[in-house]
Amino acid sequence: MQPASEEKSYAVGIDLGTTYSCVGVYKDGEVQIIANDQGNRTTPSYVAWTEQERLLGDAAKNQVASNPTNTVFDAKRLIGRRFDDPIVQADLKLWPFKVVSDGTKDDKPLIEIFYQGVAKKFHPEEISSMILTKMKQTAEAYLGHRVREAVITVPAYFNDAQRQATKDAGEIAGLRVLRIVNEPTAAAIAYGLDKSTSAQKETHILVFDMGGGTFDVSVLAIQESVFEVKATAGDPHLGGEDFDNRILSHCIADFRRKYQSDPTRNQRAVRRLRTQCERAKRLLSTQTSVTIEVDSLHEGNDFSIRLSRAKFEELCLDYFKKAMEPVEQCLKDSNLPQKAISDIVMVGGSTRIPKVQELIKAFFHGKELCKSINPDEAVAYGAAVQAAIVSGHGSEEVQNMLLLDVAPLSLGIETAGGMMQVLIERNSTVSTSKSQDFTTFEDYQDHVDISVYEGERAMVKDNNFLGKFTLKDIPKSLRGVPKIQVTFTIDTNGILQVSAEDAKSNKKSEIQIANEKGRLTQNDIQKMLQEAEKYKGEDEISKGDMLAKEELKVYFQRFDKGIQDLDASKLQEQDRERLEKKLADAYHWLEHDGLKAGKPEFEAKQKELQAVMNTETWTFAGHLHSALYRNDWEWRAALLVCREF
Amino acid sequence: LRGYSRRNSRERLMLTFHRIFDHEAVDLDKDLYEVLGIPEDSDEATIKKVYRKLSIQYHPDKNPDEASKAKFAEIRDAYEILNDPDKKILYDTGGMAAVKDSEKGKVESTGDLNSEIEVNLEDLY
Repeated sequence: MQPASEEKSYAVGIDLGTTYSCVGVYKDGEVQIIANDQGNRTTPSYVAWTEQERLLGDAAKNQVASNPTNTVFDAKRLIGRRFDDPIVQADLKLWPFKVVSDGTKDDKPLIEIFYQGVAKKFHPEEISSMILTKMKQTAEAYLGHRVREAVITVPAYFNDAQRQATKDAGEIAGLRVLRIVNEPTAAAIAYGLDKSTSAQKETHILVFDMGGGTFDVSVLAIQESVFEVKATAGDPHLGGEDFDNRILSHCIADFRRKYQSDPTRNQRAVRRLRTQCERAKRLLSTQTSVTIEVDSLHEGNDFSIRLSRAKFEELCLDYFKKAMEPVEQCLKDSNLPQKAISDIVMVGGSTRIPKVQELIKAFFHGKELCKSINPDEAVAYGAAVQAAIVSGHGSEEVQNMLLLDVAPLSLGIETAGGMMQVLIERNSTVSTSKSQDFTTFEDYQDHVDISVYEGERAMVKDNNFLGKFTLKDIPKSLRGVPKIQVTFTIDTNGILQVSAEDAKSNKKSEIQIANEKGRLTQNDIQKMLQEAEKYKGEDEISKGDMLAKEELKVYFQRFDKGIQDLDASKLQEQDRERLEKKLADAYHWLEHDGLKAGKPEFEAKQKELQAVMNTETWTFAGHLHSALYRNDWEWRAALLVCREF
Repeated sequence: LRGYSRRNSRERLMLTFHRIFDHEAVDLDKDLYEVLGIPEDSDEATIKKVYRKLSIQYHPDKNPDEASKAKFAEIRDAYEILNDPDKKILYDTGGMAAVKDSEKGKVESTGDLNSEIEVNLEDLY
C-alpha cells in the first residue's frame, strides 16, 4: 500500500504462546531474539485494563493480583473454539475474568472486562491481536523501522478454525501474515541451523514441544537444507498451566482442611496463590522441594505448604503419561523405527520438568535428549528464519532452505449414512489438493449438501465439523448418474478450501471452510482493526496524560522553590501565604481529582498556576522596584525568578 | 411424487460415494520414475534425495507461478506413492491402476448402505 517505505520494513517471526510470546528477526545474516522494554526476551501473553489505561505484557502480568477480573490471559485456549466446547467450559471455572457467549448460532466466546466504568467485550482474536501488537512494537523499537509482515506460529495440532483465527488476529494487529508455521517445525529449523553441518545424509529428529498450554510432537527428516515433516501429533490443551492448576487445587484443598474456609471465591487470593504455584513448579525443576507461602491469603489466614518434587510428579503424573501417547502415535505414523531417530529436540518451558525428560528418555531406551537449543526461544527463532525465507530477505544459506510441512488431521466429507469420506489424509504434505468424484443418492436429486469434517474417526459425528455448503441446480437425472467433483485444497498455512463442481452443468460452489464456523467475517475484522487503531490512540493519549502530569509536578517543584528562594524582603508575608495555599490546593487536586484527569486538565491546572504567579510577579516586580536591592547580583537573581514564572 | 417427499430430508440430500478418482494422477500410464527423473531400480535414499532436490526447485515457496505449482504437485504425488513401501510394490507390479484399485477397495469397504424406500403404485407407473 505504501511502496515508498516498503524497503524499510522487516518481516519478523512471532511465537504467539499461551502464556508467553517471543519475537525474533533475521538481520545481518543471523537471528536476533528481541528483548521487550523490560529487558525480557519473552513477554507474558497478558492484557489488562486498569482504571486509566490498557496494559500489555509484563505490566499486565505484574498487576494481576490486584486486578484479577480485568486481566486477560490464555486467549490461545479460546481462539477458534466455540463457547460450548467442553474444553472452554472446563477452563472457564479456572479463569478470574468473565467469558460469555456471543449468543449467535456460531456460539463464539467473548471476554468481558470493565474499562472506565463500561463493560467491554472482546473476541479472543482481539486479545491475541493486542499481544501481537505488543510484539510488533517490541520489534519496531529494536529495528527502528515499521514492521508490517510477520510469520506467526501455531501448535502443529491446531485445527483449521484455530489457524484461521490466529491469522485474523495478525490482521487485526495490522500485520500481513506471511505464513502460519507449526511450532515444532519452527523449532526444527532452529535446531537444523544450529547443527548447520548441512550433511548429505538424511537425519531424523523428533521435536517434543510442551509449552504453557499446548503440546506437539513432530518427526522430521532433514537432508541438506530440506526439512520434511514426516508426521505430527499432539494435544492442543496440555501444558504448564495444567500443572499449575493441579498444584493450585492441592493447595486449596490443604487450605480448606487447615482453616475450614474456602478461598476459591476470592479471586485475588486464588490469583496470588496461583502465582506462587507457578513459581514453585519452576523451582522444582532444579530443587527437590519448595515452600509455597502466601501471607494473609484468605480471611486473614496465612498459608504455607511444603511441596516435594515427588508430590508434584504424583499430582501431574497422568498428564505426563498422556504426553507419551502422541510420541508413540507420531513415531508410528512416520513409519520409522525408534532407533532411526538421531536426536530428540526438547522445546517449550515445560520440557524442563525432570519427570517429563525422564519419561521420554525411558521411552527411547535411555537416549540422551538434545538440549542445545533454547527451549523458550527456538520457536521464535525458526519463525524469524521462515519470515526471511518467505519475504526473500535472508542470506543464501537461508534462501536454500525449504519446509515441507504436513496437515495434522484427516479432512473429508460426510457421505450417506454419516460416514466420513477422507479426501486428504493426515500427515499429507502441504500445500496439497485432492479431488474425488461423488454422485447423487436419489433419483432426480437436484441439490446436495456437502459437510466438511476433520478427524480420524470413521463416523462424522465423532469428528470435528468444519462447515457446510450446498451445490444447487444439478441437472435432474437418475441416481448415480451425475458426477460431482469435490476438491480439497490446503495451502501452506494449513488452511482448507473446498469446492464442488457438477461435471455436466459446470455449476461450481466453494467455501473457504473457516469462513463458516465461528470465523470472523471480513467486516468483523475491519471493525476490530478500527477498534485496535482507537486503542492505539488511547494508548498514546494515556502516554500524553502521563507526560502532562509529570510536567505539572515539575512545575509544582519550581513554584515551591521559587517561593522559598525569595526572602521576606522580596515577598510580603500575606502574598507568600496566598501562594503557598494555592500550591497546596493544586497538590490536593492532583492527589484526588487528578487521578481521573487527562492531558487537558493537567495543562489547564498548570496555566491556572502560571496565571496566579504572573499577577503575583507583577506586584513582586513592584516590590523589587521599591526595594533597595543590595547589589547587582541580587537584582539579577530576582529577574531570573521572574522569568522562571 | 408423494413417496419421495415423505423421506427424511437429511438423508435425501446426502451424497453417496460413487467412485474414487484422483484427479492429479489422471493419467494411469504415467511413469512415476520418469516424473522424478530416476531409473526404476533406484533405492529409497535416491528417491528421497531427488524428491527433495526437485522440491527446492519447484515448491511454491520458491516459485509461485502456476507451472511450478502443478509440477510440484506431480512430484509430490509421485513421491507419496514411491516413498510408501506398500504402494511402491503395487505400483512396481501393477502400475498406477493397481494403486488406485487398492485405494478404491479400501474406500468401498467402508460400508454397505440400505435405505428403505416407500413407493406407491402411482410412482411405479
